[in-house]
Amino acid sequence: MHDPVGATAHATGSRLVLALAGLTAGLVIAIALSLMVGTETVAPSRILAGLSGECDREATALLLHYRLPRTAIAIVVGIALGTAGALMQAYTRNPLADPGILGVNAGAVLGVTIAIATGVSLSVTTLAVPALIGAAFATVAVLLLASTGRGPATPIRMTLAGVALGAVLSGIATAMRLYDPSTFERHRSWAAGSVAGRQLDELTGIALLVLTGAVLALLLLRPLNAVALGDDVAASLGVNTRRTRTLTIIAVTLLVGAATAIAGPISFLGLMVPHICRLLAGNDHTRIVPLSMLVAPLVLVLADTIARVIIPLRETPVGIVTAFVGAPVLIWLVSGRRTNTQ
Amino acid sequence: MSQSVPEPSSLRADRITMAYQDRIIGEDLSVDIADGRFTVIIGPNGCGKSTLLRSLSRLLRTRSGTVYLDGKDIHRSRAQDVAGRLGLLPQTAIAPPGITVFDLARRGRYPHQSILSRWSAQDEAAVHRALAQTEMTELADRPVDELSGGQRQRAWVAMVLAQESSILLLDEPTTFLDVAHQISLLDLFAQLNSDEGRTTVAVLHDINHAARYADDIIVMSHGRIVAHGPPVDVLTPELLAEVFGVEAVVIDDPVNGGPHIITRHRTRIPASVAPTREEAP
Amino acid sequence: MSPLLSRDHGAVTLRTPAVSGRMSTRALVACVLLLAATAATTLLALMTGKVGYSPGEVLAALVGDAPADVELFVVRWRLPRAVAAVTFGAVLGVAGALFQCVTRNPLGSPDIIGFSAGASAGGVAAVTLIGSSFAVVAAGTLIGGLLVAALIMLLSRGGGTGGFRLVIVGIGLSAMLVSVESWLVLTADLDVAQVAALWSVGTLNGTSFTHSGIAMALGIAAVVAVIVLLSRRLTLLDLGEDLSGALGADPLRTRTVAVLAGVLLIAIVTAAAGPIAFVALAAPHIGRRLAGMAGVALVPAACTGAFLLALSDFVAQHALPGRMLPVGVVTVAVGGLYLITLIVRENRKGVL
Repeated sequence: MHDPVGATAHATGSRLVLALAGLTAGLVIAIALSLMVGTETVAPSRILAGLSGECDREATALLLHYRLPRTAIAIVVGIALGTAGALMQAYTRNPLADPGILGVNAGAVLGVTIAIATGVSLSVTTLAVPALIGAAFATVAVLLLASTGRGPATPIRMTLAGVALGAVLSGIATAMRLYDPSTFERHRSWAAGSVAGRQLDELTGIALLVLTGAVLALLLLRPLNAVALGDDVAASLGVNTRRTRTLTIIAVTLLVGAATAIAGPISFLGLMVPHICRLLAGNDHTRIVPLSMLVAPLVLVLADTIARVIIPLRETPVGIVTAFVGAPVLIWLVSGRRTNTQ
Repeated sequence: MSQSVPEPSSLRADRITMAYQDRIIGEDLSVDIADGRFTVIIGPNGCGKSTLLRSLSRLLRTRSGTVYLDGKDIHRSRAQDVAGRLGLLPQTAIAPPGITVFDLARRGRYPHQSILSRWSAQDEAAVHRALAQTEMTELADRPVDELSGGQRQRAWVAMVLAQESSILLLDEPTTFLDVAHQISLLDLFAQLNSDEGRTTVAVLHDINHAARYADDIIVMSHGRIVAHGPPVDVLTPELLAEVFGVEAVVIDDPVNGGPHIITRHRTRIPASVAPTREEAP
Repeated sequence: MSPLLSRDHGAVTLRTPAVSGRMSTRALVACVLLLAATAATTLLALMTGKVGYSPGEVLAALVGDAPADVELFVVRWRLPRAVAAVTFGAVLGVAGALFQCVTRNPLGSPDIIGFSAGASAGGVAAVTLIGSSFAVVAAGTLIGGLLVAALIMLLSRGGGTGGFRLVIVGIGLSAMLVSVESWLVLTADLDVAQVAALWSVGTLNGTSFTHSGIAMALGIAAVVAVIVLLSRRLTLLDLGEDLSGALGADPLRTRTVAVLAGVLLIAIVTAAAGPIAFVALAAPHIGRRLAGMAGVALVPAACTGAFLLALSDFVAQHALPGRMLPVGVVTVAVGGLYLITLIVRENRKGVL
């Protein structure tokens, strides 16, 4: 990706390398913090000792059964939602697209809720199936809804369609939870979006799904870059637009469904991360999507660490933190002429 | 400059019927685009000009009949192969916010790239050549949305040129530009056509621009091709009255040679000049 | 001397020495039908439950002419809830009409642009931090609603046509407020948190005259006041700022008053019953279409709101055997579906 045109292009290239290095370092620090910080602070030396199993049992238990799984889940879920957000923004040419805002999260939550209520499945890995079905349903529904008008769907039309759909789907899910509170008691923090309280072995299946979605996303980057220029241009460049769109929907469904099955609905991460990446690397999906895979876990791991300490001795679901931080990003995007949203 | 244009390709349509869903735009059209020449399609609003261009470029699947690129059915060829030989600048192009001229031109290389070969020396050379031809090298690092209308259109042309196709299809490339930018853009197309023998097909609104720049003119009316040939042969007062509903005198252009049309007054409004803005659905 | 009631140009005119008014015949018929439907639903709600009564028994109970057990069920337990549904529905309908008029956007309902979320977060803050008496919660919702109204107006300044920025800013603020709400609930003691959580869905369960009577009275008074004082000015606002200014209604003042009134109405309902979603969105539309009126239609909105909430609450009580759902769950599902059809229709018109 070396641009030989001029000094500024070179600067963009070296800035990108710098950003990559900084972000990787940031992710490492965030992971370290996430392992250290909590109701009980664990010193770095004890973490190393604990991870190699040469420490007091208490710290080992805390690390291996509690902080390590939750950090790993935050990383996987972050990758999933950051990638999904970037894909959705590319697909819809809508800078406001986000799995949470467009109702895809709500679809996955409803799928999981139905599965739990009917007693079909209770393990995290099998819950991924209804989550995928729900996410796929919501994605297709919101795109169909937004495309009912003449011409391409405008960002506001799509956003409203998503908000409406999300309200209906989560309304139904809430009703089901209220109808049978005891069954849902242990899923309470899941319903608000949380990466806590799961074990590493529960993550395996989810991680595989996310990996599949992420690989698919990487294969779609160049066609998506062409689709960004308009469907006609993309077709005249030899892109099969229909196949690109179908595969993108499949990737989004895999990513959001898997993430929601394990962590519940986490909004606004998919909205803000691609914008951060766009600021760093310009409007090029071949850079935005891979960068999102780095930035999103960084943000989510940090958010989860903050969520742990923000109320002493109480767990705050990380979904609350991302919404509180991410919603201002949405407002910032539409105030001023920063993006061409209409 | 010799390697910039690949083997010449030929494009023709054989008895095609063009339709959007249930609405038939044109039936039983046959046209042979002359290799290496600058062909301009004119006609009143809603006559099917853009639709013909979309059919020729594979964007619109014809209801019946076949479009042949180098003797092969264009819909049976691989999309990426077609894109390597035939470039299109549609009216519906969208510049992603913040994209630079260079990055935009770079995306024209899509048909020449694959998963493994993403930015070869040829890619780089083609983009640079396209920027130089459109005189956009200086502006390569500027965001497209900060450019003037004329410069923006040149950036898009650079994108299509980077595609290095031997055929260039342009759908109303001069619309929304002021007259100076229209002329400079048309000069550019004419130059590309004469220097490199690139077959060029453009839909234009201005009949005098068509008369001045075209080697061949295709006149369309009500979804039919009513005339096809060099401007001198095609642009007659009778045809202008019949197709555009204008009474006109055709004189020799005293500056550039060729025919020049001066309208007297409107005689009637043809049925196809409907209030619908565009022929696309 | 002109007659008291007269008909002309498809409208009915009422004229007395003190009051005069004019309403289209179709709107009048629509409102009367809506009120009849509301009355029927209410009667049904009073009749059904764990113990069923005949219409005669219910009417007897209402006039104080029935056995004590019937009176206990009908008047003590079911009546407050039924009255609350009708009153609050009307209040929400009018509030929605006010906001849609000010934003000149069919989607500018308080549910979408965040006023409801503001009132709700204020209410939850009041419950968790101070206490759950009506006065405290009402103050909380009012302050929350006003603060958010001010914030939204500030952030969406110069948003251009169609209130695009207003809607998006509202969606963002709603999301933040919901997360604030969850945070407040999580930090609170368990029993307080349960009260707050149930309240935050929007429910009429356990409504009594002693607790919500003030809210109902205030609501009725506010609705009447808004209809009498504001509807004439609002009709002018529909014509656009310039023209309404030229006709002598200061547009800025009209808007400000309308927003304040809307927030007040929302706060009254929210304080008593929590944030009941989407009635304020759907009622003005349905009302306007039934009445065949263009522009602002406060009276049809009130009638439709009353009917919608009465019906929703009936459904909430009886949809699931053995359980009473919070009415907010029903209105979210029904209103959300209506919002979807609305978006489809607006799309077809190419408004968005």
